[in-house]
Amino acid sequence: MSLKSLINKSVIKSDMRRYWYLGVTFALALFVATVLPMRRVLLLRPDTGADFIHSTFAAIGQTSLFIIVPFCILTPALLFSYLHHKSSVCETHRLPLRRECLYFSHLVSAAVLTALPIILIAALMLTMVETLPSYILLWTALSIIYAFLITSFSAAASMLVGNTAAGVMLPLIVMFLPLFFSGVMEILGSGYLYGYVPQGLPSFLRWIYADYASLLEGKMYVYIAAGIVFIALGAWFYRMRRLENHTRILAFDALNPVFMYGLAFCAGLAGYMYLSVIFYDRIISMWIGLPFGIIGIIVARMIISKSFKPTKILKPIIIYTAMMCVLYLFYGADITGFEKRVPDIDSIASVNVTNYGGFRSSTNLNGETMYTSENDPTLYDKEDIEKVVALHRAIVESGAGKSENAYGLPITYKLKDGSELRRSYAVTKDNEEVFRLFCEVENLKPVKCERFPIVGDDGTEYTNVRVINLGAITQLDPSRQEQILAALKQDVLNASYTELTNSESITRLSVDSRIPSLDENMNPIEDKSHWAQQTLEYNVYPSYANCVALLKEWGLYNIIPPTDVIDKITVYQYTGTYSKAAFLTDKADIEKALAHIKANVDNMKDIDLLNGTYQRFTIGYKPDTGYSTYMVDAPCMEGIVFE
Amino acid sequence: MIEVKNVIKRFGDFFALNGVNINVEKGSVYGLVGPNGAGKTTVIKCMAGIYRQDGGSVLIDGKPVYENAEIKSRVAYVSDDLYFFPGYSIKDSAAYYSGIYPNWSDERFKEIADVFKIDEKRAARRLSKGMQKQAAFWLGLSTQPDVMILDEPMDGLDPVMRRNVWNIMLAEVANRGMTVLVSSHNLRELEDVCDHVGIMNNGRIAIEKGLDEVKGNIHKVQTAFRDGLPDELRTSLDILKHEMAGSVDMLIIRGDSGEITDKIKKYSPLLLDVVPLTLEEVFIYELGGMGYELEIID
Repeated sequence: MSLKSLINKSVIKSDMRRYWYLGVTFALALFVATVLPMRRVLLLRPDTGADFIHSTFAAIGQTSLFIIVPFCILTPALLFSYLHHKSSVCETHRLPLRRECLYFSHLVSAAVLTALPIILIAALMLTMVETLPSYILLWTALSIIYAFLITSFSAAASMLVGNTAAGVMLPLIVMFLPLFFSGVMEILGSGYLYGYVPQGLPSFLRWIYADYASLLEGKMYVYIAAGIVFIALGAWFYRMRRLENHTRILAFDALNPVFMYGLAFCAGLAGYMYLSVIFYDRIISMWIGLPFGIIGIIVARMIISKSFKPTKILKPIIIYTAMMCVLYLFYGADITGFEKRVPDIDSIASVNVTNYGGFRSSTNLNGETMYTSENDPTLYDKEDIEKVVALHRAIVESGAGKSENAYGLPITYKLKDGSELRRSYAVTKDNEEVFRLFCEVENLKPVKCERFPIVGDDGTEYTNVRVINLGAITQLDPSRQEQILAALKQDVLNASYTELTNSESITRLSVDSRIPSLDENMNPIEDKSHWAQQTLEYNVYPSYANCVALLKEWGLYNIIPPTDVIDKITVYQYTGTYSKAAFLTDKADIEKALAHIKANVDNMKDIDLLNGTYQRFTIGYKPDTGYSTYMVDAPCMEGIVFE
Repeated sequence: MIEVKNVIKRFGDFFALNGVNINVEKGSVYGLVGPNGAGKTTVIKCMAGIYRQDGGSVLIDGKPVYENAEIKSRVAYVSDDLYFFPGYSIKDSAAYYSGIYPNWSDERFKEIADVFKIDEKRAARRLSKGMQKQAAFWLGLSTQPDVMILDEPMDGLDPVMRRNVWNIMLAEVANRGMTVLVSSHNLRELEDVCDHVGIMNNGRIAIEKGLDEVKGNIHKVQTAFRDGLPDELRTSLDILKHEMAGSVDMLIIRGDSGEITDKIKKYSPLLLDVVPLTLEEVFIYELGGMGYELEIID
């Protein structure tokens, strides 16, 4: 088969003449999204460096991907729209052109309409940034590859439908279908399975969604291959297509069940989500949601047959109901034993009990969130792992922690066979045994180290320590810094979890350290000149015997500022989603508030348990008194009149 | 030239074509007639290479038509439902076809222009239905086809233009040996131009013969007997229809006219008159015998 028999110039010229506006609009959209931002950057900073250009291009690249998707779906859908009308399908296929010729000729047209605007915009940008053409060339190549993938996919999809609107919708639906199904699985898992951890999009499905960085990393080769596969599939679909099926929603009968059950599934899910808000009970909602799925089947049959009188619906309704029963059994009855599964200790390589976003990242408990995995409290020691497994087993057996006010506890086991087992629980104080085991886990050094990096042995370089008493900051000299850091490390290691969550203190230690910055691959940078400064604040609890002794010796422990240096205390009361404010200026009121703060300042844990009702005290000091404004949360103090 | 052998075409569970056999000889004008829904357009679309048949074969010069660019380049198809690209004039369409049909002739396009008298720069979609039909003939004939397949071709054309179009096509038949297959309900017109006729019904060809043969095998006989039509004649003649007009018997009889006359004369009729049938009458009476009859509503 020669190239001439595969591509016809007349067809391409005709396409160009009829659909030129697609290419022009695409070019304009790219111009607005790429050239204009570049122009702005270069006007603002004519001496722009390579790094800045690079980061600008990263943003441009991502934006252009979003523009490419709709244009590259629409272009083939319109080019192949002749397949969807009775007269045009006859006119086109009476011509002495093989279907392959029509298909590849239109694909060439699509390639011109989608690639040419990218090339033109790239050429325009090259004239603007003469010194760094490689980024532009890379952007051009990646954009064309992505456009090629979407165009070939849309062309293949156009062969499957008998309606242009369906031809546009199908690729969009397919693109979002993985997200949808993933969402369904997450909802079912979270709703039914105790301990289920939302998995997010499975890694193999993430390939569907391009981002500029991943294209740079090598996804593009996969996309080129996928594009070629889609082109071949499209050619095959065209060859198999029965032309008399124009105007039908789906050109192939085999796709009808996919469409029908897909719509039923969507309708069922929509019904479930709606009803779950009304009924709260997920099991009731899911069964009541079943009729929505059946309605989906009826609607699908109406669309397929283009009639308000659907036919052949009994069998699919029975099949759908049976499928739902199986799904409910799978999740509702936990026939796979998901909830009860606790791995054997011997099969565990390590376990991670990270709690990002939980109370441990709260500043009131002295930690700041560490967002790199290397700070995860991973337990390798067998005794430590045994404690986690014991806690896990107790949770599973007791079903503890289903109440609203609870401590989050995610557990991730890395098993020796290379697999991963992830669970997430909510632990409350209601079950004493579970909470005791939970405290034991929290007291393990690696876990404690997550919230209190001071106990780690990672050779962190500490640069400064200050003592803070309700806004009064005292700089310690280097010799005292060493003493207090050693004392703090020992005290934190000695403290129990309960002490750390239920003690009182108004004295804090602000500790500066230098930590490695991370490169773009999240690896620490060795060059210390690029390290970042980190400041962590540590509460000094009464149980911190070593710290308290030193601070008392230095006269720096739990000092309440004198009332006459305080200008006013502003109190905001947060109740659920709204707040009220009060201003305390009377000396007695200020003293009363300070006493309340002193008694409750560290009970953020309990504040968390107050259903979102707490007070925020902002202490405003008079000028030139050496104090800075201080803000602290505490349980509600009675007797305050709010505006 | 055109051979349709046992062609089957299904639309879902419905058999639109159920073993169609058609033979069209080179240089002939073949009229395809049949009631609505008989399958004429479907078989034509198979012949034009648009539909893929589910069974049997459609051949032109012994080669399959479907997906055969070489054969299709020699076929011009004028459908009942015309399509022109949006914004395209006849001139634009001509330019488009010239890049697709290897036998496209600009000279021929210019020659025929005088017949049609349409401004070639006008957007084809804005033309009247009749003018669009003319444009379709204009473009189709400019491809210098060996085969022209026409589906209700004269629908919308005025009588003068019909005659002009047929004159051009018959000249092509005479000069170049072009083959024409035409489907139409205008049987009077087909009678003037066709040399062969195929009558389709229920997805099959019921009758396929030369026009003279078709017309020569069925006759309208007006006769009268003193004691009425003898019973022996009722059984010995292949009578398709029998009506009485007073004492005169009006008979539609299939068979050779000489034999029919001889048989009737044996019974000394008071009146005997054999009248030739038009193609339309042949169509009505033949299909009447197949259960597709005229309904007379009082």
